[in-house]
Amino acid sequence: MRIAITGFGGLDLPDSGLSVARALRAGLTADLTIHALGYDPVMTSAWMPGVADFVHRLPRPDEREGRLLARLLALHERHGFDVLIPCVDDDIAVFSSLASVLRKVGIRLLVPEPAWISRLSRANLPDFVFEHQILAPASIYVSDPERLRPEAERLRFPLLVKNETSRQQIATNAQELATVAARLGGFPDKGVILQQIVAGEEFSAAVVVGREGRLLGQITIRKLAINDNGEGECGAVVEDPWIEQFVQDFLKVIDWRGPLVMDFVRPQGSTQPWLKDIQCRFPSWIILSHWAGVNLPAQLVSALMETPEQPAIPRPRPGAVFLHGVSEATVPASTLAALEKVGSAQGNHRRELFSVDDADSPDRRGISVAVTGISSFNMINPGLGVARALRRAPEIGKVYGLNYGTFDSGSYQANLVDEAFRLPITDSPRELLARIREIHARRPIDVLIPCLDGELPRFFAIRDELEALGIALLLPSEQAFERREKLNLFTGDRDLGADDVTMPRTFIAYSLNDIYRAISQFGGPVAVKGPLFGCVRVDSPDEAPKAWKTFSQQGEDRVIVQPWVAGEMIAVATVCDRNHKALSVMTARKLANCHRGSTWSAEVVSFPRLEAVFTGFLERIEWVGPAEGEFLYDEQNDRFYLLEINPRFTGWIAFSGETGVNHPLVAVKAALGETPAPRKPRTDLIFMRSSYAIEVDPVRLASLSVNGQVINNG
Amino acid sequence: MITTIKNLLRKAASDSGVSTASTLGFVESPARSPSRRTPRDPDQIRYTLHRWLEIRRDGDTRILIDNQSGSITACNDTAWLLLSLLREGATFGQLVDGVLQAFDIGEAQAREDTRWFFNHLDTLGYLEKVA
Repeated sequence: MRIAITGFGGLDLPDSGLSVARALRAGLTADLTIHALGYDPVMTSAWMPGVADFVHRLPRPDEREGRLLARLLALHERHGFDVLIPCVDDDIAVFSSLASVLRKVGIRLLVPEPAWISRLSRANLPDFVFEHQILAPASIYVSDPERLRPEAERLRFPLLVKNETSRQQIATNAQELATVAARLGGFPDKGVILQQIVAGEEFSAAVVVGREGRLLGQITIRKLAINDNGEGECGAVVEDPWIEQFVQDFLKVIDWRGPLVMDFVRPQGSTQPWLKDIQCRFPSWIILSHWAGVNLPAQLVSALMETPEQPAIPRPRPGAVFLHGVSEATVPASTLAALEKVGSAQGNHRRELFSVDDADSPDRRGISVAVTGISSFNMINPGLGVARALRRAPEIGKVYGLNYGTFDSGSYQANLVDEAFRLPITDSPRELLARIREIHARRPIDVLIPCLDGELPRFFAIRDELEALGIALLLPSEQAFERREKLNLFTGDRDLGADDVTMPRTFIAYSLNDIYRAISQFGGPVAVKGPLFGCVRVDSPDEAPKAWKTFSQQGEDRVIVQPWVAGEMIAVATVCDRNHKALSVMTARKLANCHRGSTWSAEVVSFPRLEAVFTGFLERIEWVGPAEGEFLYDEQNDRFYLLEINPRFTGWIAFSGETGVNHPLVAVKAALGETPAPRKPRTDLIFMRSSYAIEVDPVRLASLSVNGQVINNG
Repeated sequence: MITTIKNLLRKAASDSGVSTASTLGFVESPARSPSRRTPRDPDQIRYTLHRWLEIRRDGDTRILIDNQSGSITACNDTAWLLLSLLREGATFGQLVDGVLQAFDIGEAQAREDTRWFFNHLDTLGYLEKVA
C-alpha cells in the first residue's frame, strides 16, 4: 500500500504527518510505502529514520492551484498513491477542492467539503458556535486594525490570540497584543482571533468520520501539562462521557468527512466542556490512538481501502499517556541536494549511525556519566543532545539523566538515559550536593556534565566536594564564566585578535532614553538584548518603549543595544581542556530555528580562521569545558560578528556524535584526564530534529514525581 | 495517606488566566456527586471502585488512575491495601480487618483510618455499592 502524507514541518509546533506515519507503520499489517510530501526542504520530521520511504517537495498550496495538482498527478503517475492524508492546516482546504480530480485518478482521500472547512475555520468558528448555542469561551475574529484593541479590551486581558490556522499565544496587555498579532498571523494582512481565557482543565478529542458519515473512531485526552505557549506537552486518554456526547451531538450538526480534532476547556466546577478550537486534521499526538488500541489513522486508511469495517467502534484504552519529546537524526547532504534539484529523494532508512567509531577506544570501560538539562518542555535543553551523543560512544556504560521536573521528556527516553533522577529546584548548592550524594551512593557517577547556564554557579560552588566524591567535572572558573557574560563580553576587552571576526558595536542602555540615543548613534535598526537572554529588533524609535518594557518586565535594569546586522547564523562548538586548549572544534550553519531560538536543522561548515580566533579567545579567558560561540556572518563584508558565548554544550551537539568528533565524549575523556586525539568532522551530513511523541506509563510519571527516580533500563 | 500527583507537578494543566463567563448561558448538570453515605451496616454492604478507576503498580510505585478525569494519584501502603480490597469488592468491616492484618495498630486506630479514607473516596465519588 502506498500512502502519501503531508505535514512534516512545524518544528516546535509540529504538524501531525510524523505522528500519522508512525501510527500507520505501527497499525497496518499490509506492505506499506510512505511518501512524505512537503513544501519546505527542511521538513525535519520526514527525515526521522524509518518514517518515510520517499520524500517529495510540492509547490506551496497558496501558489497557483494548478501547479500543485500537476505535481501531485506526476508523482502519482510514477508512484501510484493509494491514499493521500493531508495533515497541514494550510493544505486541507486545497486538497478538499482537488479531491474529485484526485479520486478520478485513483488517489483515495477522506476530506470534508470545502464549505464545511470554511464554516469551522478559526475565522468563522465564533459565529458557528453562537449560531448553534455551543458552550465556548467568548471569541471574535478581528481583521480591522482599528478594532483590535477595543475588542481585546471588551474581552479583557489576558486573552488568547490565534492566527487563522493553528498557532496561538497569550497576550497580557494591549502592547503585547499588537506584537503577538503581527508575529502570529501577519496582522493586519490576515485577521486574528481573540479568545477569552477560561480557567479549567483542558481536553482534546480526535475523531475520524467515514465516507458515509459514520464515526469510525474517537479518542479523548486530558492535557496533563501545558507549556508557556499554551501547548499541551503531555496528555492521558480519558473516558469522558460528556465530551463523547458533545462530539457525537456536534457531528450530527455538521456534515463531516475525515479527521477532526476539537480542543475543550472544562471550567472549574462544571461538567460541560466548552469548545475552544477545531482543526480539520489529526492532532500531532495521534500516535497515542495506536497505544490506546484505536489507531485512528489506520481506521481511516482501512475505510478508504474498503477493508471490511469493524462492527462496532472500538473504545480507546484509558490511561495511555503521551509526552512530547524530540528525536534527532542526520541526513546525507547529497540526499537533500537531490530533493532540492529533482523534487524527490529516498527517505532516511538508516537505522545505524554514520560515525560510531571506537577505533581509538577498543575497551568498553563502562564510564557512567550523569547529564543535566534533559527537558523539551519550554526549551530544547542541551542535555538531550549530550545524552544522545554519549549513547553512541562504546566507552560509555551508563547515562543518567538529572532532571528538574516530572515532564522533562528525556527522563523517559530509554534510548537516551538508563535512569533519571530529579534534582531539587533550589538556590542552595548544599541541597544540590546532598541530592547528588544520594544519587552517587545509589548509582556511582564517574563524570557529571551540567548543561544549563543557570545551574553552573551552583556547580562551581560544590565542585571540590563532587571531585572529592570521585565525580569528575570539566568546568570553567567563575572568573572565566563571568568574563564571557554578555555585559562583560561586549564592554571589556573587545579585541578578538582579528579584523574579520569582531564584536558588534555595543551600547549599554540603563533607560529608555539611552535606547533612543543608541538608535540615533547607530543610525538604523538595532538589536536590544537582555543581559542573559532575549533579543528584540527595533526598527524605529517608536518601537523602543516596547523593547525596553520587554526586559524591564523581566527585572532587568539595563539592556544591550547593538546595530542590527543581517546574515547567516554560524555556531562554533568546542571543548577546552584544563590547559584551555581546544580539544575539538566543529562549526555549523543553522538552517532552521524555531521561534524560541532552538536550532532544528544545521550543516557542518568549515571556517578554520573563525575557529582559530574563537578558540584563541577562549584560551585567553582561560576557559575550561564545552562552549559555543554564536556568530552572525555578514557575507557582504565577509565578516563575523560574535553574538554570544554559551558556557555549555549547544542543543544540537548530538550532531557531533554523528560527524565523528563526539564532543560530549571528548569532554568526558578530558574530565577523566585523558587527551583524545583531535579529529575533523564529516561535512557531508545535515542535522535534523523533530518533535516526537513518547509513550509513558503513568506509573513512571508517578515514580519520578513521588520517588524522584525513574528506571528505563535494567 | 494519599497524594495527588497533579498538585506536585511543575505546571498544572490549566491556563493561568482568569475565568470569565461565556457569552452563552448553559445549564449545569451535576454528575458523579458522591453519595455522602456513611456505612450504617458496615459488615453487610459491599463497596467497589467505580469502573473508571484503575490501580497500577510498578515496583514501589503504586497509583490510582481516574480514567474520567485523567488524574493520577500515588498511593502509600495503606491506601494501596484498601484500594486493592475495594477493587475486588469489600465491606467496611473487611477493610478494617485488612488494615488490622497488615499493620501493627489497634482496632480503634484501624477503624478511624479506614473511615477517613473511605469517606475521602466517597466524597470523590469513587465508590459504588455492589448490587
